[in-house]
Amino acid sequence: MFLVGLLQWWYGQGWLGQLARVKQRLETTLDLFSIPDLLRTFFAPFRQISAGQSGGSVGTQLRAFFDQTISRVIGSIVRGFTIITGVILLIVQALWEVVIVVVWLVLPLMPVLGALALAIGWVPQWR
Amino acid sequence: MAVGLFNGKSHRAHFARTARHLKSWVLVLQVLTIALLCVGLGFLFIMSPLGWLFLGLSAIPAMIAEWYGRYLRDIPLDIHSETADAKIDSDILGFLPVQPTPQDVARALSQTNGGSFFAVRFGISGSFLEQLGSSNRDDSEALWQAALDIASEVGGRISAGVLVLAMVRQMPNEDTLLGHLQLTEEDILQGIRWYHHLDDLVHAARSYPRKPGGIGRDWSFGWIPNLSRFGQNLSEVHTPVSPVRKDVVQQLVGMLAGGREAIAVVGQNGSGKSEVIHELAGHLMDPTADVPRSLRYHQVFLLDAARLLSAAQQRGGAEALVTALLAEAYGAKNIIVALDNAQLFLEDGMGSVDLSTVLLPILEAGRLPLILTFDEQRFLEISKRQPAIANAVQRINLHPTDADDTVTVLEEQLPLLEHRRKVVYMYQALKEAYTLSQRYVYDVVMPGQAVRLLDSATEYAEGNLVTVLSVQKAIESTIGVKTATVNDDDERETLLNLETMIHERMVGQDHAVTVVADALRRARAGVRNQDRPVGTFMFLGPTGVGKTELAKSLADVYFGGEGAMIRLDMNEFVSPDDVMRLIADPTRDSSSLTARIMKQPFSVILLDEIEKAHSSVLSTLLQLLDEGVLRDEKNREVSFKDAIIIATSNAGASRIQEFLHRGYSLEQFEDAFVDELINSTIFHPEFLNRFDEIVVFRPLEKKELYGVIDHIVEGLNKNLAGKKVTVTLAQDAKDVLVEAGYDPRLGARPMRRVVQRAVESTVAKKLLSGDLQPGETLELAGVDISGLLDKKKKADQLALTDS
Repeated sequence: MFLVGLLQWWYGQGWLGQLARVKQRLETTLDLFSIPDLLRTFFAPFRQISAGQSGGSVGTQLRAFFDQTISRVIGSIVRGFTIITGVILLIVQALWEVVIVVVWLVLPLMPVLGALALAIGWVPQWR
Repeated sequence: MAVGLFNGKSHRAHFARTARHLKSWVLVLQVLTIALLCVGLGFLFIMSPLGWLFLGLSAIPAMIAEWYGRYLRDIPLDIHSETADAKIDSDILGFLPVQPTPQDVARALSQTNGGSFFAVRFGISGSFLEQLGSSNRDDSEALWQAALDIASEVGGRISAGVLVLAMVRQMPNEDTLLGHLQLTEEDILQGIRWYHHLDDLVHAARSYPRKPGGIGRDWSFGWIPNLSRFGQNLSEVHTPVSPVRKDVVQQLVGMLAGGREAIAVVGQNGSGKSEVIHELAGHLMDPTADVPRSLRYHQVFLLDAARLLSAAQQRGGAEALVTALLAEAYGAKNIIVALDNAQLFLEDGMGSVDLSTVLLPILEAGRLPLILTFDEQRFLEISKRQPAIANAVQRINLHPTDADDTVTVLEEQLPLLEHRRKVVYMYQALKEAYTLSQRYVYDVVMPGQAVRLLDSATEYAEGNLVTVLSVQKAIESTIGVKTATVNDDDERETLLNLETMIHERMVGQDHAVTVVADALRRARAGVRNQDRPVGTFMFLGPTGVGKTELAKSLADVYFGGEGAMIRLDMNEFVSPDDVMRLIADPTRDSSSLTARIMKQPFSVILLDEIEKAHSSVLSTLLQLLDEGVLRDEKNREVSFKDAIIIATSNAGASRIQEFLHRGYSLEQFEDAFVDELINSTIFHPEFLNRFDEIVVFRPLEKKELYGVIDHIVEGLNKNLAGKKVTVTLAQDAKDVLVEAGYDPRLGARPMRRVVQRAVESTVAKKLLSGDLQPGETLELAGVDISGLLDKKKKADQLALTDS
């Protein structure tokens, strides 16, 4: 009963729960780097520097336009770097999560595999 | 065997029992996993294939520990199942045998957190239920049926509280038990919902992100260095929205999202205005909440008038600072500014500054999200003075909460309060806090009233447990009112001997004394109607018969001294304008009746010579006599439910004399006299009908005046105690005094004058001349008294002739 119950859960609810946790962890990373928000506001002025409308002469307006453009460019650079960093970390994390999911599936077989490896007698050689 | 409503052999029950046994082994399993991993890696390091075996074996304890942590510890419920074992909390299930008796269920409760919750909060422990529960397995079926019925009312889950209530329902003396614990079934149901809600909060808190929105959340929004310095960012702390204020928070969100940027939250002190702002901040930051995109992750900054004033050192500095802060908030695009107690920003005074010239254009433009909280009265004053401000804001009214909502708010706030004050509150204490604060706390409304009282009750916690008694003690020490029923031996003794103690101060009028004493005993035994004053009496009779003296005696004997008597001479309330003097606000007139009862609710109220009051004044008193409340000029309900109201009147005194003169006894004419009075025009029948009792006092007889003399001499001896001298009167001296002091029209009143004239003056002279030394006793005989009275009489006649 004990072993059956454990294995039934491991490949049933336990497996689904593990997938849900993987999804949740990836979402947390996505949220941590604010990737959807950063993409949505990619070209918005950074920290509202030089944002807003300005009146006055054509020269003043031109200067405001250039200031705002610079603010937008700086913003897009900062956001771009953050998005890239976030995406790289997401990829690394996703690979790690795949390993976890695979290990989860294989784990119940580990004692048998261990015994087999012992029987084969192979060990990595580093000397 | 039929499974019935509880299947103790189900997989869930089996796994729950496994989990119970496994619980103490989890740490061992985790350590074993690590040890096997290390050993395995060690063997591989030395190139031994044995390492594979250890690595493989490490998976076994790891999997069991994981199984326990992810599943067995809290096995999911199946609330759609028809058997109880699928719906019961797994920690309880783990302690139940295959065929549990009610006693087994009770025993399981005492070993789980849920059982402890109900033991501490409600006083119903598992061990207590075990003593009362049946040990017969056949009785379990009814218990499971009751549990399933209760669970269907609380979402299907059979938690500890559900089992507690189910067991209570099975008891033949359920009402006695609940009455003893001052609980109802509905209270336990509410407790079950509370427990489930706390459970949900704990689960939600575990998954709440540390920085909602992530690191780049605010990059599209402006810098706010000044706001960060001078304002308080309410969004930094996650405050969940209380179910009670959910609608108001939604209304705020709707208004802000709909472009109505300036909002005034108006409510009385204590109604929860600040909490609404905190909860709005928490709601906007909550990634799981339904928030419009335009408001998602907006931050709420609270500006404090006192802080701004202290920061602005020079004249006009506050205006400049507020302008800069609001400009910063506007530029940032994701800031909602909240001005708590906004009246402090709109009027000059101590701790406040008039910034209406700065704020009005911003409010009227409506482009900066701004929430102002106002006290109701102050908002009306400001609206009257500056209507433009009232017109520029959208108003949301916050009403005081009712009993159920107040308890819900208290349940929400309790974990924080308990953490801060290091105490635990019983559920009964919450209910008592509502009842008592509703009745005695006037300057704040619900739920603030009850929160404040609960906070002060921690001072009276019994071993860190705040009980009903702690709350009662807190209110008793604050306002001197007795709220608990009698549980003190001294008080019990006083109540049982009230008549004797009153008669130590006054003579005769046994009927009146008994009526008043009975009323007080009913009140303190807890059998009276709680929605009326303790007693309302009309004392009728000629002057000098002890009407006022009885009121004074009562105040002295039971209410803690004559100072506990609020006396109103109703001949000072002869015009309609005098009604205002009854109900004036304490800040305007501290001597008004409502102001005095607010300070001292446990009192004797003496309305002397009631017949002289204006009919408008009497009409105002009708509600007081009937319901024990009077609305003051601020329309607050002021409670008189702990007071004894005594009205005295000389009306019909001559008619009483007439009856007596014709040879009737008081018992013979009392009813007829009261009927005559009701039919007369002196009082309206509806006014007289409001009194519990109309008591007729009869004139004192000569023999009773001996007792009056004894009281007066006793009082004199008390005064002389400091000089160590005593005065006694011989019997013939008393006879002389009674003859000289008896006047059927004036009752005992002339007696004091006669005693003063004859006895006190003699003692004074003897003390001054040295004839009476400390330690001596002066005994006056009839001859001495009559001589003195004759001398005084002659002197009075001479003075009269001269004049």
